[in-house]
Formats: sequence, C-alpha cells, structure tokens
Amino acid sequence: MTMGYGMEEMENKELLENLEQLDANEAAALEPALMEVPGMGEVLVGGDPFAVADQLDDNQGDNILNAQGDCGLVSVANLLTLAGLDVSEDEIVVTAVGNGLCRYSTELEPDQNGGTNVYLRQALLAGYGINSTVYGDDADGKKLSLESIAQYVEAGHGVNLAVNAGYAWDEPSAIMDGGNNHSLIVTGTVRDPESGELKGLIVCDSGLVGTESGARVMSVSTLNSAYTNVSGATALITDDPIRA
Amino acid sequence: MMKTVSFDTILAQTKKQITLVMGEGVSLSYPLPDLQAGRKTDRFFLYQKGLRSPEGPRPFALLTLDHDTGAVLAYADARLQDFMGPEHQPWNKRISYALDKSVTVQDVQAEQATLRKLYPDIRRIAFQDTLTEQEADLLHTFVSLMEHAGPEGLQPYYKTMGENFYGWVKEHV
Repeated sequence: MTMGYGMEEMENKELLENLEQLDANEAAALEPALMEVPGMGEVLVGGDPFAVADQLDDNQGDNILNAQGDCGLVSVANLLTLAGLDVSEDEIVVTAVGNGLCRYSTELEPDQNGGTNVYLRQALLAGYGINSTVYGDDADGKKLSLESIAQYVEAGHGVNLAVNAGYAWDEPSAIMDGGNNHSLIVTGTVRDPESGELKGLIVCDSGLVGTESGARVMSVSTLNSAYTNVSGATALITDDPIRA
Repeated sequence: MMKTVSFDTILAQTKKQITLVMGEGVSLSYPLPDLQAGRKTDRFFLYQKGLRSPEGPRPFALLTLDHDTGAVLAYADARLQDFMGPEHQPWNKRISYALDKSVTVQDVQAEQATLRKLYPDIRRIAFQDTLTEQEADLLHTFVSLMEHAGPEGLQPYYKTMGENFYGWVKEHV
C-alpha cells in the first residue's frame, strides 16, 4: 500500500540518517584509542581488539569431533565472526572435515586432527564468500612486513598469521622444528602515540587453552621471532575489509 | 643429468610439501645422513603433538630423500612398517616431548641454528673412507650435539634412524 510520496520521502530520509550514523559509529570503532597497555605504557590501540575479544573463540579443541589441532579452523571461524557471520567452532570443524579442508582421520590422535595450511584456510573463507590473498609462501619469501599487516588490520581487513607457537608463547617445547606450527588472527595494533611507530599487534590466540587470550598483546620483538624470522610463516589477508 | 640442489633448498621444499599435504602442525626431525645400496640419502622422521602438551604420539613416519636432488625415495608409515621395531610397540604409544626446565627459547633457537649450520658439511663427509682432522672434529661436534638434541623422548628415534650413520661414526671418530 503506498503511503504517499511525502511519507516515503520522510521515511527514507530517516532511514538514510540512521544508516549514516551506523557507518560513522562502526568507522569510529576502528579509530585508534589512547589507552594504557600493561608492559607498554600509554599507547594508541587500533582495531578495537578488546571490544571484539568476547565475541571470539580463544580456546581451540572443544568441538564435537574432538579435533584438538584446529587452531587454523578456529582462526577462520573468528574471521567469519568478525565479518558478522558468527560461525562456531563446531560448524567450522564439521564443514572442514566434510569438505576435506583439514587433516582428519579416526586413526589419528585428537591432537593430530584438525590441522590446516594457509591454502585450506583460504578455501574455507572463500566457501563463506570471503576472498583473501596469501603472502609469504612463495620462493621469493615475499612476506608481509609487520607494518603492512598493521595497516590492513587498521583498515578493517581480516588478518590470519601462521606463526611458530614456541616463539609466540616463549615456550621452548612448542618450538618443535622451528617452522610455522600455529595459526592466530590479528585484531588490533599498538603504536607509539607520538611517533606512530608500531610497537606490537594484538591477537586472538586459541592455542593458549585455559588462558584468556582473546586480545593478547605481542610485541614487535616477539612477532619477529614468531613470524618474520620463521621460514614458511604466512599471512592470509581478506581482499576487502570485513569490519565496518 | 639431475641438478644437485643445496640442502637449504631441500629442507625448505620438504617442509613446504609436508605443510601442504599434512598441515602446519607436523614437524620434521633433525636430518641424519644414510647410505643405502651405495646411494647417499638424508633421512627425517615426522612427528606431531599438541603444542601445550608435554607428551604426545610417537613419530609416525620415516622420510628418505635423495642426497643430490631431495626427491622422496621412501615414505614409511610407522603404523604399518614401524621403523622402530617391535620392542617399541604399540604404535600408538605416547612419548615425552618435555625439555629440561632450564632450557630456554634462546637455547632451542641456538641448538637448531648450530645443527642446521653443521649438517651440510656432515652430509658431505658422511660415509667417506677417510677423514681429515678438521672433518673428524666437525663430526665429533655434530654427534655430541645430537646426543642431547631435542626432547629426550625422541633420542631412540634418532639412534634407530641413524643406525648406519652412527655405525660409520663409531669406526671413524
């Protein structure tokens, strides 16, 4: 039933104003905020990582298939959640197993099940309609710098890093062969408020089971050990922003 | 004629293939040289455990690569053809991956860097009939480091995988 052009115009104007306000609020969410971060003092935090931490899964392995090596799958689920799709660990594990997009066999131990590589994660994201690009896995080792990664985070892109857990956690027994053996997502950045120099990234790390790690600060030094200097470590970046 | 490839390239390509086929959680052991039917090879075992668990499944496969090209010559699934022998059964036995409490991240990093730096020379001189004094010293250093390399739980696997190599070492060092 038509309400008349005048009424429709008023309704459309209100709707447009509401939409503009929503965009402004979401854009503001990724604006950096000055805050105190333990160990770093007063810094500029970009990406609003502490606000999204509660929405994300920071404990891998508690899924209906008991696949405990599913850090990559949880990383994908978390990126999908950031994109507004709210995919659970159960759903992503079942989807991945059903489509041959993770390592899974009833003959393997639980901690050997659920493993992925960057290309499987890329395929999973694409299955949910999110395209992405792999950085750092070619012969030239065109690895993204931490600064580039930070800029992608601040622009609202989804960012998944493959790292070495031992260096990321300062845990010698998790270094294994020193290569990339763990996956996490980057949700925030930490910068010097005066110079803008990158001081660290904030990650959601599902591997520290039993510890609150939905917004864990990693310094540039730790990131260089865990990612920059790790042969084979990759970055998977969504082609378009997924946040705001 | 097949092109000889550097060991760094062989290692990088092997790790990449393992990651592509099995995922990021699978680890490669330190390599050891071997000689089979007059042909030099490099051998690794593969293992995987939960990153925060002090124990985990035993190594599950043995990989043998051509010394010159890095081509895969053999892949033995330890559940079907256990390279450890029946005395280490059952195949789903768990082993300790714990490191000594005094070991730091920097210690592990240094150990891996040192062994990776030594290995290209070790694989070059392995199974030679004679060694120079310098080569014998190098070998001695490598073997001493390998005695304590990585978790104690993996030592029997290195000894078994490197049976030919350690037998040759015993004659020369």
